[in-house]
Amino acid sequence: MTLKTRKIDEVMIVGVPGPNLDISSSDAFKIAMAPILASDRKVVLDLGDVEFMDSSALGSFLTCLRQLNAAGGDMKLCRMRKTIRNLFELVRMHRVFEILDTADEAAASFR
Amino acid sequence: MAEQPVRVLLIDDDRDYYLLTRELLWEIEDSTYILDWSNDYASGLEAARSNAHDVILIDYMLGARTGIDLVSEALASGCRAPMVLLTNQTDKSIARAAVSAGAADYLIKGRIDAYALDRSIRFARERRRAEDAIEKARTREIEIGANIQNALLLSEPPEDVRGLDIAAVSRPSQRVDGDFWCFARYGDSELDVLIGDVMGKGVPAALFAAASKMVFGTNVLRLILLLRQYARLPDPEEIVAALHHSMTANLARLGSFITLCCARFEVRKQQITFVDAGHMRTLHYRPSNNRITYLEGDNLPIGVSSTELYTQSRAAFEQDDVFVFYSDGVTEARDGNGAMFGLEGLEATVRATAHLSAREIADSICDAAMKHANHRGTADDVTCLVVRTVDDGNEWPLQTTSMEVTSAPHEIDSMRRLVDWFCDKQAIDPPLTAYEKSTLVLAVSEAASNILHHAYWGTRDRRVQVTLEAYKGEVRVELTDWGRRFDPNDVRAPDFDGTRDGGFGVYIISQSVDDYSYSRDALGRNRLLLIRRAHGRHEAEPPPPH
Repeated sequence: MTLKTRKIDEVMIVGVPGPNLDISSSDAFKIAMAPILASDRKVVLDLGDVEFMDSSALGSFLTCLRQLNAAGGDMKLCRMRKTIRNLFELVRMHRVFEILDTADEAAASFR
Repeated sequence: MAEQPVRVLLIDDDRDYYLLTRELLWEIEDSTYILDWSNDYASGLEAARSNAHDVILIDYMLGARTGIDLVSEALASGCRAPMVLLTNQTDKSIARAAVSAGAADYLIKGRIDAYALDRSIRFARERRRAEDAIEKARTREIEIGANIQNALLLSEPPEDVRGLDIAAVSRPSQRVDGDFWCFARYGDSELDVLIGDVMGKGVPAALFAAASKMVFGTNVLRLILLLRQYARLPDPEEIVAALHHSMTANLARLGSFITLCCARFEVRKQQITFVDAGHMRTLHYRPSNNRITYLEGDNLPIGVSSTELYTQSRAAFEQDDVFVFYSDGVTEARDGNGAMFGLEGLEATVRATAHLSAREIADSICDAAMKHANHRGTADDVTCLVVRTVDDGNEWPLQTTSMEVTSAPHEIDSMRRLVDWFCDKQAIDPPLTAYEKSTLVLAVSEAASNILHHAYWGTRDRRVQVTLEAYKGEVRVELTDWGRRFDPNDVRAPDFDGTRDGGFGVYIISQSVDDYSYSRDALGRNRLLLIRRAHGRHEAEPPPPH
């Protein structure tokens, strides 16, 4: 899996490839995230292309978040669809992750 | 090795004769006898009942009563020792009466010497030993037969055939019968019932019955495979013909035959198709018009004529009808006067109990037949199998579709797409909202992930089946796999604070559908049923309090 990345100031914006992020791709996602987690402290996952996410994808997000938190960083989410928002609310992960509408807003929130 | 001393009981009111007998027994050189003596009827009976003796010698004249009375009474109260009657008279009729009452032998008092007494005692004991051995063998045979019967002949009827309530009950007779039954299922609402009776009794009949069941099962399977290319099921007449062809040569060699009825219930067509091969005619009761008819064909039993052409007949049924398959043990149960329970008894019981469950009807029939026979035990097994056509409260699906995929992660997307596509079916009306559909897709995805992970432990070449059914305002999805047992109800609740990466799947499923249930079916499969109803909801309910 290759991740499209760009920077807004010192914040790393990661485009998560779609349309599905599930048990068949969540391991690959974690592997692709590893170098980013090693080099960056401020990360935003852009979910604009993701149409479906399952609990294993959610689990991989949690792994990334914990790794960043341990290094004094943070990871935020943006451009999340309603159906995925429903999943986050169902398992209360909207309280664990900060979710913003746009990448710019997410980047700005780090300041 | 020295022989064990033989304990002899003498029942005689004459003390001199006791002394004489003791003398005679002393004279016998190569056996040791211990002689006990009772000098009247009552104490003699008491001693005989205690079963402490190897042989009992009983005088014919015992006060007001006779030794023959004592023989009968002692046997009736469980006396096991052989009894020899002693008489002064040479009257042959007394001798005959003694033997028919159960005495092992009789001796004429004046003519007894030590040799004759010893010989009589030895023969009586020898005969008892032989009788015991036969009795033991007979009990053993009954045990073997009963084990065969329980393990092989009387399988439990399926419980989850849609629209059919089925129960089978058998009350065993003194000896094992060749009664058997078996079932073959096709889909969720079609069932074949085969009930048969192998002529004869005991282990041979039971073994033949077991073989018949096996041959039935094998033939059904072979016929299904054979007819697969024509996209139809084997007919009952074809199944019976195959059974006939497979078994006739063996049956003829053993001089036996099998009566049977093979009936197919097709619930959606409300139709029964049957072959009657000389079995007791199947009773069909229709409560709506209170009429009883019998399913009747005119085929010969299996194994009688190799040229027999088996022909099926059809009958229609409606909801709440009752079918009773039964053995001759039911209708031929006799009361003390020899009168049979008969079809009258059967019909009366069915009419009185037809509103009850199949199990209750079957129990009532067997109870009534046993009661008619005054619980004295019947000559034949009392066996009956009841099929009641019921409204199981389930509608038939308006549309169904199914798919099988391998247990590879990328296949989960195919399942999601199938569910997504199916949820837009017209038949579901009112339709699921986009939100309701997305939650069902999520639940199916989580359930499939669980199967891959927990049932198949990541093995990618196994199979997962998904079946979708559309009902009015409702979609049901069933996921089936052959993996390890995985009951979502055993999974602990997840942590909601982000400290654990996994454990959300089952919780998500439970929150994303209206109902779900897990079962492990008779074929050893995991089955998970998910039900999503249309509520017109466009977004999630507020999440439950933390």
